[in-house]
Amino acid sequence: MHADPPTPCQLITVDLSCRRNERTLFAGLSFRVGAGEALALTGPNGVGKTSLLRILAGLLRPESGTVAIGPPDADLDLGHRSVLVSSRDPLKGALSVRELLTGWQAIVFGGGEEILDAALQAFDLMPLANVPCAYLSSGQRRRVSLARLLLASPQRCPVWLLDEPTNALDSGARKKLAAAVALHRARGGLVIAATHDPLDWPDLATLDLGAHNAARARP
Amino acid sequence: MSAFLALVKRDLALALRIGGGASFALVFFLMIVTLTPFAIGPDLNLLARIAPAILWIGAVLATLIGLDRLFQADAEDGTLDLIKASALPLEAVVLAKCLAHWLTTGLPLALAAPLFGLLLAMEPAGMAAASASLLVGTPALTFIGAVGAALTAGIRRGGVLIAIMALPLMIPVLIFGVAACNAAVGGTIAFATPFAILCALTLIFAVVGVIGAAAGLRQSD
Repeated sequence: MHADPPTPCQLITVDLSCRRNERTLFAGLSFRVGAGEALALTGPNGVGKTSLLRILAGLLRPESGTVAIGPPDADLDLGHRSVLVSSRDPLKGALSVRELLTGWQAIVFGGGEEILDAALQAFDLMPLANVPCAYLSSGQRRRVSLARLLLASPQRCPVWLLDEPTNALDSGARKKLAAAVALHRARGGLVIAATHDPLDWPDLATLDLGAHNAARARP
Repeated sequence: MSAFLALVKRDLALALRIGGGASFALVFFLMIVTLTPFAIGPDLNLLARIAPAILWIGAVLATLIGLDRLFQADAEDGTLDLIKASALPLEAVVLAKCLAHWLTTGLPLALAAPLFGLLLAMEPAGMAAASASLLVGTPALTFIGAVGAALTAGIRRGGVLIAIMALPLMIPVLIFGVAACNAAVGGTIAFATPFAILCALTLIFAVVGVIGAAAGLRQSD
């Protein structure tokens, strides 16, 4: 692993609100996550954690408010500054793990084979590299999804958006995820994770969407 | 450009692997072509006269196979979100997926048309015309279907909906495709006239279909 200079980067949301199916999930949400920081999104089911992540990834338009990831290259749009690992694993049963990740590299991230090998190693996927994705267990599928994070360069995609990242992961894989997150933060990246599991990451800030909504509802 | 080619390559690999369905369209095409003589009976003159129509109807219906999964498969498992994060504009993504679909559906149909023409007692000139018209006409079918596929990407069992939306738009392609085949074996107009219109239809739908499908995908969230 080569050491990258820390990228000064921050994600700022201002007065964000989200409506889905005629229902306001959250409103007036303003927060800032700086370089090297991590934020856990918590709250009850259906409070809008996944919707917030999709807004931050540029996949969903907020009802109002703005999201900015910057600098540098502030002109790039949101989807190109972040990597979203959603709760669904975008795997193709017919492709092997290596073919799948190589395809993602070619289509989305760029980068060479050494980056791919490092990503496979980081999540202990080397023994599974030539196994078709159809034969993987759900924990293994999750690890393949997470390995995608390491394909993106921390300069181009400093923001990691994780939706229930620890789902189906065993304790060893959780440690590997924590190590990957720590390395990304040390390089100046920032991490936002929606989760119900307590994450044992150091200096983890928490944003409770349920509490945010309750505080707004009070007169 | 490399991302575009990688997307085409990935879709081709997925289609050609077991369960990918690349051969389904061709087999379905063969089924339609072989069923017709059984239904019509042993009248070779009649069969030869309606052969272009049968080949083209078969091609139109066979193109619909696989269209329902064109975007739906990627929308279901979240791959579409990932592709949206690539530097490729969505129009290029649609074009790549249409190209892969045509290479595994329309192109085999066009290449197999002379062979299937034998089953329908076609003349050699008619077979050549059928092959040529399918070669330039089937991309239009794919592009028309792509719009329907994009609009139904988030819907389960969207296949029938695609057929209902796309088939009416495919009528002009069908008319001029069959007209080109008929013109090659006689008739009052030159082969080049309907063939040129068919080429024009493909070019028009290449633009309209790609832009329309990309717009449909943008709305899907």
